[in-house]
Amino acid sequence: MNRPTPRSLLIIGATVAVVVCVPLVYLAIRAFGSGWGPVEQVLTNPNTWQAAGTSVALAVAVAGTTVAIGVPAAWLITKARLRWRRTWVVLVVLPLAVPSFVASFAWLSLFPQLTGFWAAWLVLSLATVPYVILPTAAALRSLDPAHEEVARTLGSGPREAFLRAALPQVSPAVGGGALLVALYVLSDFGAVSIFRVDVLSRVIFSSYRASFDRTSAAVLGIILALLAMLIVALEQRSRGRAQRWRLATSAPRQPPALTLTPGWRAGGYGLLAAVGLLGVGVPIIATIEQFLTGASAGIDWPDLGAAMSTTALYGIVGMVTAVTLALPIGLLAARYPTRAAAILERMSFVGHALPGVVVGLSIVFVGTRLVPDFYQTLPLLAFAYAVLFIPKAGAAIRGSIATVPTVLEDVARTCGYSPWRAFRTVTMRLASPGIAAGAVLVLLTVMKELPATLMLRPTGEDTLATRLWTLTEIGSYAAAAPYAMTLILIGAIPAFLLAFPLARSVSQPESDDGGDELEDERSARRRQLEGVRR
Amino acid sequence: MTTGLDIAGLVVSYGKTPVLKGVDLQVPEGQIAAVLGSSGSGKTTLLRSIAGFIRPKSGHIEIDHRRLVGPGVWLAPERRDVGLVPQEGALFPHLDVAGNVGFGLPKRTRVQRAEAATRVEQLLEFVSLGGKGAVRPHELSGGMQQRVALARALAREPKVVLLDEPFSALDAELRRELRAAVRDLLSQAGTTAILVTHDEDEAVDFADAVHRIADGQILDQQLAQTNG
Repeated sequence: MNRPTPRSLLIIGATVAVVVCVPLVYLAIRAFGSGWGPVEQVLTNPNTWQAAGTSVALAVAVAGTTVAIGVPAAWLITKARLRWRRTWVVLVVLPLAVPSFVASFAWLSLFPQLTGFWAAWLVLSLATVPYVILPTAAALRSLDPAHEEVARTLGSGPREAFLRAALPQVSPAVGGGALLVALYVLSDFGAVSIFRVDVLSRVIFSSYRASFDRTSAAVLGIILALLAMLIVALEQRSRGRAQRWRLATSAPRQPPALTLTPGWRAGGYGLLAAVGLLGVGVPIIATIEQFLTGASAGIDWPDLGAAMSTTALYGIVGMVTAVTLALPIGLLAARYPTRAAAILERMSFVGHALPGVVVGLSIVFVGTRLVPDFYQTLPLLAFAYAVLFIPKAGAAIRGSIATVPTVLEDVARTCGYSPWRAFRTVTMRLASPGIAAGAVLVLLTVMKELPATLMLRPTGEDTLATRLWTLTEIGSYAAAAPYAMTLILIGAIPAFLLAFPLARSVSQPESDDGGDELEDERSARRRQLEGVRR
Repeated sequence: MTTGLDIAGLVVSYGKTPVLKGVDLQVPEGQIAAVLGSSGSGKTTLLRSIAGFIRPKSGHIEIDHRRLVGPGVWLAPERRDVGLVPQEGALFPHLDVAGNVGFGLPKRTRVQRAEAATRVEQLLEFVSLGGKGAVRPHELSGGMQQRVALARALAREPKVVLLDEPFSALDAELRRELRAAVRDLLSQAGTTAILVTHDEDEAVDFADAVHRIADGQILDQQLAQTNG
């Protein structure tokens, strides 16, 4: 039975959820506030639909490519017998370390003739392929090998057993990954701007910068937001499907790795090497090359230092704001999972569906009209970061608090603790490592954020990302290199955090090496545990 | 021996660790045998060797005088004519009950599809799940899932059905009920079956013959003969 939700917590949570939704609502008011005329003008403009069409085409092309590369790569690192398997896992996940605008800068500095749709397609595909590899590999690892074994006893050969019994079960994870890629591409601002592809996010930004009347930017923002929300809804549906298919509660035994023929093995190594080298090797090499060129001409250290300290300051302020605002929502979702809590959580997660350029634009409207004193100040920028990253912080908070049994708090209460003290000294104490890890992820993401920072940063201040963007825009690649390098190092931390659990899991003992006996022991332990639970 | 399952001198090792050390086991056609052993005794390895998921180092396995494993012979699992009922059923979660039961039946032509549908219906009736064909596995209870797994294993009329602790995930009462039901179903189908279990009561209740395994060797044949 659910415990009654404390009223004060509900009020705080509701306030946060409403405040977070204000910019989007205000964007809609701004778009439709001047009557139907301007809206109709934007909607009947062929350029609008061309930009929307290009956005969707780029998202589909990149998502399709990442599935075509990511699924075989995930299969190789989880199922095939490979040398240096952990290294391959880390290598194919590392492209996450390189923000798309940094990768674009790097490719452009090597090949200045790169431009347009296919250049953006190449760089975005390489940057986002880990979004397909990670969930697919995790799904392949969690598959019960008994399904393929049963299929074999029912007359299927190894390939047919994989295609008919295993692949359909992995498909929700593949679909979910592809949708995340599509969302990333739709929201992307850096790569499409650097390669000059007229997709919605770039057109919105140009329209915002070029025109005094920002109604058209608002209408375009609404279109982009709706497209992104559609993708998020599809992604949540595919996640629900994956959840429903889960039958067994016990951890599956791992089957022996498959030995590939020499030809297939060479192809496999080639694919993994290409993903890693093109996704992370080329950007690093290009950045180093440009850095060395720039170093010989002299690096503007004071400028770099100022950008680093601004980045760190914005990161910390953004992290504290996002985590603080996400705390009541995460607590409600974990401890008092009522319908009201679910609604508030969904409202506060609006940033998950909104591209940075849309959040930036909507907060520009809020800032200029409702709180002009705060426009282009750090507090309003911090609020934009909160809108964008509350979902990330909230997920970490909810997950961490949910792992702490409520009975511990109950015991603390029977020891004379007030509800708040029991929560603070028991639940928060135990949940703090998970919340801290989530906070660090938010910090690192804020430090790489580009479009909202470009729109809302205080005049005269630059972060590493905005400085890199302006220097790349004017073709100063060598001068931009130190900023790119620092951003890659910042991005490498969460990429390693994501890669290591998978790398560890793929190198666990397999059943062709005594694993069967291990499984017998595991089964016995499982039964004992079940006995204890009963 | 006459027809049925015949295993002789089966040796299996994991790396340098011997797991089965020359297992001999005969199960006459139509009989249900239990292999009883504790964790690490080698019982699951024996079952997986019969199914074809493990290659033995030496020895032979025959079903109705057809050699599955032996010097120079090794048949892939799909060619062995065995059915498998794993722990917790391992139903395909992306298929409904009918899709699971009919998974191994040929469905290339319209006639084959019609025959498969009829066979699936018969099997579902047989395991008392008539009308449940369109239900998804997650909507079934644990006992029902195991019945579906048994129907799936029987669909291709295998020569031998292998049961890998199929009742272990169920509670005691359901375990007893399902044990009796599955035993009756197997007897009616006249299929040879091997159950591996660590539960002595289960082995004695379920099987016509119980073979105790320890440290990779069958200790005594025909320990109990209480059913039939």
